Amino acid sequence: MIHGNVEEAIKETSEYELAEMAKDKKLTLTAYFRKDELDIYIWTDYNSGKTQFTYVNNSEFDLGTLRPIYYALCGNMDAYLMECPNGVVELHYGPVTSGLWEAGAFRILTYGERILNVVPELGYKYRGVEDKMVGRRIEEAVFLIERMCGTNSVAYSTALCKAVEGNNTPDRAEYIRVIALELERLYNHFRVIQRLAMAASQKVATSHFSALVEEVLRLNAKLFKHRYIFGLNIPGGIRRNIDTDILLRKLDDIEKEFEELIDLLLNSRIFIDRIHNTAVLSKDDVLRLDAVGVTAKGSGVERDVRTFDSFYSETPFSVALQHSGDSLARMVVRVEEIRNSIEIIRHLANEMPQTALKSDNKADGFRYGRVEAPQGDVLVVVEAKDDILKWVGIRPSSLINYVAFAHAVRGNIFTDFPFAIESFGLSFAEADR
Amino acid sequence: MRWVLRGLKKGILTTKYPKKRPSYDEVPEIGIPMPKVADIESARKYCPTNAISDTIDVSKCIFCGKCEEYGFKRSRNVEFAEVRKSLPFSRSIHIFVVDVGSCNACNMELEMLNNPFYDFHRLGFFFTPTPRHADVLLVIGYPTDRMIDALLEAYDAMPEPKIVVAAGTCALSGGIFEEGKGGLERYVEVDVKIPGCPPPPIALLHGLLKARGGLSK
Ligand code: SF4
Ligand code: SF4
Repeated sequence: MIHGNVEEAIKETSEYELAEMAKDKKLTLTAYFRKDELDIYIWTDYNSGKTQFTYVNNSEFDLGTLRPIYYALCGNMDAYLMECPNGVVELHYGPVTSGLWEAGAFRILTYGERILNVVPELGYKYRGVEDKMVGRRIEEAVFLIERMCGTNSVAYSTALCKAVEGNNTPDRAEYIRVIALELERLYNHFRVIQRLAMAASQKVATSHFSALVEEVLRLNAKLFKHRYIFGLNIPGGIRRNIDTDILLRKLDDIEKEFEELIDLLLNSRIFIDRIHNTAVLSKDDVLRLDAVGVTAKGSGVERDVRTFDSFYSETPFSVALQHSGDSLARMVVRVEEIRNSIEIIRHLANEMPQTALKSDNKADGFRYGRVEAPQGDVLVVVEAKDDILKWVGIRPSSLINYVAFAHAVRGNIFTDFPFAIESFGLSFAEADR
Repeated sequence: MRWVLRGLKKGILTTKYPKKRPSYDEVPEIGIPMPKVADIESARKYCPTNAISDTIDVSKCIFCGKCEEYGFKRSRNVEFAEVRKSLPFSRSIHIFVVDVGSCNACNMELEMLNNPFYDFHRLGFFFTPTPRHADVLLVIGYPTDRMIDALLEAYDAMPEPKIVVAAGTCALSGGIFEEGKGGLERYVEVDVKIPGCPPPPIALLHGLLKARGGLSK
């Protein structure tokens, strides 16, 4: 939960300076927005945790040649299309698919068994969340952003609320927010493991991990009166208190169950064989494609905005890192994060301060909030005045990581596709918004 | 072998629904809000989807909790499915799911029906990967422009008799995304409506059982 004022931080740059920033390996291109006549570029230095805001006045500059992720950030996925050479088959997969997949599609080039290129096709889930938030009271905009990506509702609503809050949000609210964020991480990570097991036709493991997801959703329902924790955040704090006894008791059960299951799954050769060496993303790929979150951490690049969050430094938080960059590495990062999230929740539940749940703590102006969602960091930038949103920009983590996935899956055989895609934990609802 | 043993241990968790009422674990206070001693005027004013009139319009409610600030209390009732037409038989039902613009939470609740807690196969429900074998078209999400053709194509590919089930506020009315356009009914006739944002698994089961005519209430 990082937040601040954009107005004070933003600097004008020339196109030349912009190109120099794009060549600087220490900077990650986090977001691009067009606001009024300005092209706004947002950068992150993941060594220092600093978010930098720059703008260029009405430029025609094509940053994509230096930073390919720029095209995705502009919504121009077509830029990643390749010409279809002779002997190569072009497939269109989606938007209605078998199974319970989301509305989304891929354009795939394949020759024989191998995948030559994949480009995600967005737009099937475009609901115009950013535009619909504009002109609303912030409290109502929270309801909207929660429903943009329901499985990351806490991450987005927290980022939005932090953006419009000053520094006096009551402690208890912050504690409960982080507990909710980590519970969200738990069920999302369980779900990724479940879907990987499903892809490998590991029926029993699939149903057990699905049951674990259900256990967390039921815990959410008891604590927050919503299985996906909608309705918790309001600007200035939170809406409900929670019962830490229920939380701690259930957490022990979940932990025990998880440890038994993961031990069995990681000892299953058939399963490991499918994800080992699948969809490898190198460290250089991560740096070149500006990937974030679990995707970066699986390839040995430490990118987790919790690292720079003074709140998390008081908790047992540690960054999970793997180096092989394959589907297995991303899964192991998740396994470690599950253990770490359980520790963090336990710590917070035991130390919970008795304060109010919300305060009048508004901050107007051009501001931002960042949160580490289960799959990677998300950014919400807003302009707010008198409780009304005037402008909204959202940078979802999936938007970035779809590009990383598409790169990683190249050269893999077709039957590896599900193991590749599930290991990235992506969501069209989130990327499309 | 160890997996099998675990499987046996889990067997007893499966819900007793619909033979018994949903347990507290299955459905705590996540149901439709009820006015107890409530300031209904204010609740009506601040409800983000205008779901409150003399009653609560369950197809509009997004379960946001706002009205609780004005004295509404969340009930444990999630069985609000409304049926206009059910299937003329009570054998196994095959369901084809089309997501026309969901937030992914509705998808996940459907996924949960497969897990050992709900195990909806035991009640004769199955997801099918093709509309050609489907009896039920189950639609979730806020209908986006780009999904309409795909939706109608799937509908046309289904054999008769068939019914359309809309699950979740987005599909029912457009919910919070609505801009005077309404939900799915603009494009296709909806036979069964399952409210919720998202509808929890018990609500989905309730709706599906009613769609089959297998639940007499
Ligand atoms: S829960 Fe929200 S949407 Fe439903 S009636 Fe109350 S205020 Fe309206
Ligand atoms: S009804 Fe609610 S949970 Fe379902 S897709 Fe819409 S916003 Fe998401």
